[in-house]
Amino acid sequence: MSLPSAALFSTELRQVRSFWQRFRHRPTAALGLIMFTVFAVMALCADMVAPGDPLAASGAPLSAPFEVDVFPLGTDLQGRDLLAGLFHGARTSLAVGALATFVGLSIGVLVGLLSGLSGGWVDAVLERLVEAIRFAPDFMLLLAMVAVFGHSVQTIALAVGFISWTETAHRVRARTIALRESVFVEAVRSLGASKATLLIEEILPNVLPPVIVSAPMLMAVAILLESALAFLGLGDPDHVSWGAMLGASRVSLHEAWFVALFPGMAIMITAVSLTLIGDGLKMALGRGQGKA
Amino acid sequence: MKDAKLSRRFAALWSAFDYAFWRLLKAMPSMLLIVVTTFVLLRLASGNATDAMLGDTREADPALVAQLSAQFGLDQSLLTQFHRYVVRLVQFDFGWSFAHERPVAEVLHERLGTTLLLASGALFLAFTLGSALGTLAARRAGSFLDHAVKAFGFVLHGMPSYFLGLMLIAVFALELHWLPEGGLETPTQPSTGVAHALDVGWHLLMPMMTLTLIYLSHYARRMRASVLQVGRHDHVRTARAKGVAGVRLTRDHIVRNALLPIVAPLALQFSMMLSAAVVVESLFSLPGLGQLAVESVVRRELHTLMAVIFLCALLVIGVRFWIDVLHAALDRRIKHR
Amino acid sequence: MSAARPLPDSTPVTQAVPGKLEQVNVRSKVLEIRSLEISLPAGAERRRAVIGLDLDVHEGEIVCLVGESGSGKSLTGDAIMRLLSGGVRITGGSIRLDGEDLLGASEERMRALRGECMGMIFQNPMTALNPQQSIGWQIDEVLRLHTTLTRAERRSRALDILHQVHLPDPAAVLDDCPHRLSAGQRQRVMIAMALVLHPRLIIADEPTTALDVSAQREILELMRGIRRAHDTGILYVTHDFGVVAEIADRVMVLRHGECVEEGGVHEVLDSPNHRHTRELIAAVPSMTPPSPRVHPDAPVVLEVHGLCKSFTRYGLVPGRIVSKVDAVKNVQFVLRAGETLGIVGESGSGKSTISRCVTRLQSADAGSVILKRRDLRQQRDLLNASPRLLRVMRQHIQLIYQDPMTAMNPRRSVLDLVAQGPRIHGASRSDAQTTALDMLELVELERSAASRFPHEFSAGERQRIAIARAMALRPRILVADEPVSELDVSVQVGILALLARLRDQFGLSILFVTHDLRVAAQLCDRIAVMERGEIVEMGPTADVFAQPVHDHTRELMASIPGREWVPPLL
Repeated sequence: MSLPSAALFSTELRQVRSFWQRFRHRPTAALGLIMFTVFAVMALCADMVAPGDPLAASGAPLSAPFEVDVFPLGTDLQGRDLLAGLFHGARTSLAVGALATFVGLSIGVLVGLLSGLSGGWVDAVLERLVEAIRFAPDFMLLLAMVAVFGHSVQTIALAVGFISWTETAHRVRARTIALRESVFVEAVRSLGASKATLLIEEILPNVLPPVIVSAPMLMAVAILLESALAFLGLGDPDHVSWGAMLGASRVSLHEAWFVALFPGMAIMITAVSLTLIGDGLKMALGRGQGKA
Repeated sequence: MKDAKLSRRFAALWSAFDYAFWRLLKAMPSMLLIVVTTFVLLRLASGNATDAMLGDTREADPALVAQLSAQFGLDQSLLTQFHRYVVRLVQFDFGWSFAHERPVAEVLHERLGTTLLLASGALFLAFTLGSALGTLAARRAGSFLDHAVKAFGFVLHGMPSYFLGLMLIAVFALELHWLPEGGLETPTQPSTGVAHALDVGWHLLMPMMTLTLIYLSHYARRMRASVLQVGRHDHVRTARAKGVAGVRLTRDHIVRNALLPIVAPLALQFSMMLSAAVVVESLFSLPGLGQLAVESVVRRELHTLMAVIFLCALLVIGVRFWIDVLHAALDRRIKHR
Repeated sequence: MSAARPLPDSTPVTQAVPGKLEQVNVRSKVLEIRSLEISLPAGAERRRAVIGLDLDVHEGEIVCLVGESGSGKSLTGDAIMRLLSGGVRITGGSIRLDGEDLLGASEERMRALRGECMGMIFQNPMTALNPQQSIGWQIDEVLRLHTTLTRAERRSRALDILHQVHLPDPAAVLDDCPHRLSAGQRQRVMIAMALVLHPRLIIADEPTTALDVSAQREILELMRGIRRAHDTGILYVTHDFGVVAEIADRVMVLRHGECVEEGGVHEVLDSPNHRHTRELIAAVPSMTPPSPRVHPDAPVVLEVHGLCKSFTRYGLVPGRIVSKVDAVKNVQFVLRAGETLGIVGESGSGKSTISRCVTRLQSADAGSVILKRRDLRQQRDLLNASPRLLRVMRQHIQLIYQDPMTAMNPRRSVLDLVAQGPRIHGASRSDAQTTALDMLELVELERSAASRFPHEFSAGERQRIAIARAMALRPRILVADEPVSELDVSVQVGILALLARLRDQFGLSILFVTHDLRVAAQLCDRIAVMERGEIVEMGPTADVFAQPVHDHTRELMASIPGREWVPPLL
């Protein structure tokens, strides 16, 4: 039958296309996307633009921006190239952010689904666990994990993921329960669907989109957490990090405030761009619900 | 008639406490989980076993400590160790801090005030100022003020607190010399009385400003959304049909209802504030719990860090209780047992 | 057009009282609207919500403004109080309250007038009161704003008005918060608030639509009382012609923002002129039940025995019961092939619970629901069936919800939704889709609807989609839970006709749950009347309507608004 299959295919395509259009047409979201892409490109091209070890001292300390040709952004107290630091730092931040977000979302979705679908004591126990971690100060937990497991970049990324899954789990659980009890899921149940069918066809497709939409925000938080750790000097000493650059700038702040400015702005703009993207996704998703 | 009103008020307050109390009980398992987590982390810690276990408060000699740690049962079963750990925690015996050469409990006690002041002060300011700003922005939705608040909010949302702190230091302390760079007190000032209080306040100004500004935007945005939403509710329309308008409408009908969903998550935000305080305290060299936490990591005093976490979890539960009381007192729809 | 032109001020107005025509002496005009025009913001379905409206309300007169959804009737009320929002504006005409020009008045003047000279009552009592303030405070607010009475005086006025609206124990109510009151009680509070300063005009925007029939009757009675006691002019907005027959003195019918007919209630109701009015009146389900269709010995398809269901809420301590509601108590009935059984009752009577238990969407505490197969050899108890068996049995009994929008996943296309049933039961994708398209045709929708989404359709069309979805499984029994309650009368007619047609075409048995006796009279062969979880009366519709036995049935029959009015055959 040509009509049904064509009709079905075109509706799915239409949904995706209209989602993208809504997102694109929101100026702030587009701006966020552009800004983030800049940083992503920076991370990718780090080796090309600034070859060599960014942690090695390569010039006179505290030279101002544009003072020396080789160092367009200047150098820090140790004589390290700030530009190199920015580019390589982008790599660290984005990598840690991405890994942490992936870990956090995966665990969060699994736990949330499990909790929401099982009910009973499984739910009660998991809920308490989620509550315990949510209400404990997350940065202190991060410190504890770093103290126990070490401070390599991978460990930090995993640790950040481990403390940030709880928010996702909480929301996924709430949404799963709401969906489980919603009228349209019940309607499909009355058609005779099995629990597995309900889960795969009705619940998951409605639980996952908000989770995906929250990914950019989560990444922003992860980047901020990693930078904070690095700022305190507890990050990975073998990798450049914007936070570490900021931390190092404290000492020379009154002479060379620009040393703090660049990494700080970098963190801020990355976080803001991710927030804008997340906001845009949320808006695009919201209107696509088709709630007349 | 007056008596009836008074007794009704009392009954309402009592049921608010009742509500909060039962919720507190329900939070006990979470507290237990925190204790378990800290215990597990301590056991997992690599490095000197003596460091990782709670040391006896009276002995500072490493050899004796080594002997005592064996005595305290590293060789005993996990459950026994856990039991001992819990018993100690409940008595607020956190062991000995080698770095400070004093019982950990004492160190915590010293630093508690600063952090509490910083965190609660910032939360209170952020909440009140933010909500006020949010309400204004919502009532003048679409105006310049509204857009300014929104933009301001976005920027601050992504700004790391330490970056903001650094900039503030650079401007106000280093350039303008209006405010001190860090620390809690000026050494030359007297250490008691009003002068002392003022001095401490002076030093806390920038740290508190940093924390407040970051979270101010959050509350402003939330409150703005809530006010706009409540403004569309039916009961606001009824009020307008009665002739209510202006400040009265905003206050008694809109804000009175819009504030509730903002108050509810305050406890969670207190916990976030404590987290943020860690970095801010380190930046401004304030002797608080946060800075102690960082120090403990650097000096590999894990039990001190766990004690800080435990104490903070307790603080959060305390705050949760009071916020629940407040929430129940404000929201008349909450049914009591 | 034979609509009576609005009369100038001092002409005697004919007040229609059933059975009597009375010339009342000069009544002054409380409200005078001329050429009112209300515009909608860009992007709305039409540019103007109301066009060229002329409307008068006199002292002591109830004028009903009737129309379907989208006719602009509610906006007119909002416009008078100047409560329009969201880009909707008055762009022409004049509104005069007791001769004073409202459109030109300052916002401050309007604020003074609202509550004091004109009051408004809204549709949904559950959300219309501030949940955080006591009733006394909210009534006091009106008094505080517009008078200089002392606190004691205000309190006594408040008590007095609560007494007038027949609220039991006014002193206790004053201190209560809205959530402690029922819907009917809250609506009375709203009326009290609107009435306390004895305004000249009260605008009632569908105040009884969300209420049970008995509560509705009391509110309508109250309205009449207000009119008598205070000479208030009442503008009553409604879509229900029964209500119009019950309380109106004059009627105005709106369609797409324009007045299509106007006149005294008897004129318009008994001899309507305009086509639209005739359409609307024709769509009002009459109270004459259908003649018996089904042979009393027809085979039984569904047998329900001893059905019980209660809802208990447990406290924190395990086993401690906080509250227990017996929703369904020992209910028993049979449904025969081709028959439509109506389950009628007010909210809380347990009728919805029955529909959910029978379709096994809710577990029951006790009893059996026996589904008999076509060959009568096998019968299975739905309530005790294994999951696998249950799935198979679900094919035979399908549920239609009250609000189709909530019952359909908004992200799925109509084709997907309708084909879902067959797909679940093993049909191939193409087969299921063929069936789906056939079903859409069956419910009189175009094939092109298949690729669209639920939100793109009107409420009536969505209900048709829901029916198509249920029919795709070719069930023997259809359980309809208030399927037309949220629809306009004219749309309702279509859906009921569709159900009747499907019933006759496929020999369906229908279990029709509703609170509206008129609708039940339209479609049901037998009805069961429920009160508080029990069936109090059951029998052929004609018999029950003619000679109701149980008190509750009689009460329900008596509460039907405009029951004495027989819609003319058009």
